[in-house]
Amino acid sequence: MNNSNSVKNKIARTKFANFLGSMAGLFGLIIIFSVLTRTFLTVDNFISICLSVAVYATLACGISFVLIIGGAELSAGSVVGVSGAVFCVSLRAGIPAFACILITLACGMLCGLFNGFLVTKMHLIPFIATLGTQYIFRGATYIISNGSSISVREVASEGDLPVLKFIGSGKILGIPMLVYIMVICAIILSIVLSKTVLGRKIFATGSNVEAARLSGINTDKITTIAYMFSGGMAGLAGVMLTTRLLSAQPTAGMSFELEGIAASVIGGVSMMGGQGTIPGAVMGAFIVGIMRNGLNLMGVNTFWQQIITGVIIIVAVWADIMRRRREASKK
Amino acid sequence: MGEILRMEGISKSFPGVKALDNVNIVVNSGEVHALLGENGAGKSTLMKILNGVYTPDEGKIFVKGKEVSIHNIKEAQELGISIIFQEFNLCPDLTVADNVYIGRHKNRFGFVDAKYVEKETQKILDRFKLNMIKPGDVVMTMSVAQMQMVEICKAMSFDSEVVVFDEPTAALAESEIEQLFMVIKQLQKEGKGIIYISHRMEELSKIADRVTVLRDGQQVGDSFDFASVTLDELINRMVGRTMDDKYPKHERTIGEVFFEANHIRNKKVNVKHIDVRKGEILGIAGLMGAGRTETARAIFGADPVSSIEVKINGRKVGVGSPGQAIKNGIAYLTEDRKNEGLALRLDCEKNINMASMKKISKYGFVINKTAEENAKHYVDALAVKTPKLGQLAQFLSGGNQQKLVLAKWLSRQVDLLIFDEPTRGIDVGAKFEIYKLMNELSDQGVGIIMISSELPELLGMSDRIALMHEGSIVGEVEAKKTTQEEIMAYITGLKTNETECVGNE
Repeated sequence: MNNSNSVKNKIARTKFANFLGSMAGLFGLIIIFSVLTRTFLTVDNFISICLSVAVYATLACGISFVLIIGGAELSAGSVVGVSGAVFCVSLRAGIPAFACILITLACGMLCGLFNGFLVTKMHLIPFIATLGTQYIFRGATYIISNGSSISVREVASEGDLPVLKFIGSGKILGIPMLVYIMVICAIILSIVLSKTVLGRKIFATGSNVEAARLSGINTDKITTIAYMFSGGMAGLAGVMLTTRLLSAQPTAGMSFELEGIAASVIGGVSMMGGQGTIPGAVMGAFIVGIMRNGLNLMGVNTFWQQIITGVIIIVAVWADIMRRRREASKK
Repeated sequence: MGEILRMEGISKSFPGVKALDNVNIVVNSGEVHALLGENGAGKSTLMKILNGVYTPDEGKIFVKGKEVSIHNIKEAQELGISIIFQEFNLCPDLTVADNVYIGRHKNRFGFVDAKYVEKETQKILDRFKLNMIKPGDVVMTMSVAQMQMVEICKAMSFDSEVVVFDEPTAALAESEIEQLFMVIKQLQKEGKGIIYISHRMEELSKIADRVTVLRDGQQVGDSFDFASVTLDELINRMVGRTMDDKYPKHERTIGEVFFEANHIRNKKVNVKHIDVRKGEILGIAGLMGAGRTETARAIFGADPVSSIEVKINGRKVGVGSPGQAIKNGIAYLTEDRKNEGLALRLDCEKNINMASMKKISKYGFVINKTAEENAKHYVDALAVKTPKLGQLAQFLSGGNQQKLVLAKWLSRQVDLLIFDEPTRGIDVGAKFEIYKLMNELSDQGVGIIMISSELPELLGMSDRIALMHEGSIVGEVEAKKTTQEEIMAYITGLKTNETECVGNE
């Protein structure tokens, strides 16, 4: 029994090391900015970081599912846009806000289902499939919203408006609702990925599709489910963004997928599939958010921020590769 | 016969292991020098020293009497040393000529001189009478055997004096091996020195002149003439223990027919009937491309078929997908462990439990304790050598990887196990263990189909052998009453016996 315990500890330790890497980066940033600026280490600033990260982190959780399965997800930003439009249009139709949220999530999952169909049944390369749907879903956004922004104030019923306002900008115990939503989703998705049979099948498929299929796993189904998770989360991100801005822009969510992918990758999700965690992806989103916030406070202009974001992505992934190499040589 | 290569007193240590200890090898011109040893005996370390990947701690290397030091593959090539590895270094999208001259294209005013390269490649192909390969062929479209020939041509384009073959026949069928041996004999005639690494004892007798045996990094005696020892003596030297037989002796109790498949048809196969009895090992023999793997994959639901009918215990069952086949008690161990059998970047526990999700979960949630106990049970039962359950599958040796795949299936109580080349690339000791496991399974009443390209293995392990040629089963023989020659006659198409087809209706 002693033996199996130590085995368990070892597994836990290697997984934890992965997590610690991102954690160290995160704390490194916090310390640097705390020293360099006076305003960084305040409760207000921390809450504003959380708020700015909430939508991206939600998106990143879903995108991680697709990356872990070995796919690509370039359409997530457009799904955010289309979801916002669908949300407002269904509000306009007089449907209760709660039902509208469900409709929007369903719409996001439908987008994911379509991606899954293209990848598994039409055998398109995921990159191409989701590049195509990025345009399709964006176009659909323009059509649904008629090319102009829709104000939530105008379309929501009088009873619903306060609720939506509360979701978008309300706070409980000083923490924004959107942050709660993001954290709850991250916890649920993390449990799905690490504790369930579905999660195991996702890792198996992402690690080796053929081996998984020959082990009796319906890899097409699992792949499609991963895309549906991503679509659903993008739909939720669309609702979050719309309630926060109280309007749905036809350009909403543009290039958000890249933010999400960056967050996932910085957080240790492998683009090759088969590796990654949800806490890692959330942490990745926070690393990007904290860096942006800190640089803003320091008065670094946004052009330089772009360059620094790029450097962080490259350094994070490079550090991960080096760590893995060391592990391999240690054997 | 002059000396081409001499490796003298080579030693190499890695942290904690002495990989090589005072190894001496001399390769003469026109000689095929077999290098034998189990996996981990130090063969590949020695070869990596020869092509500059490792530097030896002690010892000297002489090429044609001159002492040299080799720091990288390029230097090795310039000294005339080429290694043909098991996994080829070819660009699948390029042509034969482009691959042979890769990185060394002749320039003409800054443009590639394609004609020169094609002409030179053709010269080499002619030299080895490889008329089925054209310099303009795209490598992707070629068979494994042909790709190997391209690798050899590549080595020849460097004017190599020493050619090392690392398990060259592992992926070849018998007829292709003949072709390879002809090429090697041509190399011999041209006075090249050849180092030949292989696990297949039988083929060595056709080709090897001298032998060096390595065991645990040490040389077992001096090199000796191949003709001076018997195969059994050779195996003894390799494993350092007497192995009464390469195939564990076993009396099987064979039950009733419980599995049959009829009318298996797709693009590559047309099999009328095949059946397996309880506790029986049915071998399937055939050349590469005879449709053995395709038949197995059809039975397992891994590839689309135009027709198939599978009956288990007389009841018709569906095998539309691997999932369905597994539910009906059929399991398939692929010939390509690394690409199809294992998720290399996942750990042992996850690989073992991959097909047993129900067993390790409740309401869709994995119970870690159950999962670990289940994995541990099979790791112990099959004696998988791994430091921990959390070890990634990619870091295990070939034999242990195969055991891992087997563990995955044993964890699901299956009735029919299909082994596709179960011992390919596995050392002698591990092979013996796999054979023993197969016997134990047959004792438990599991039916086994074993596809193999090694005829002695088929003869040593099977009860019946189904013989395949060009997609059909052309005959069936009792393993005890047949010979390698008879099997060869069937699978090369010289002999057919439709009336005695496996359980012909």
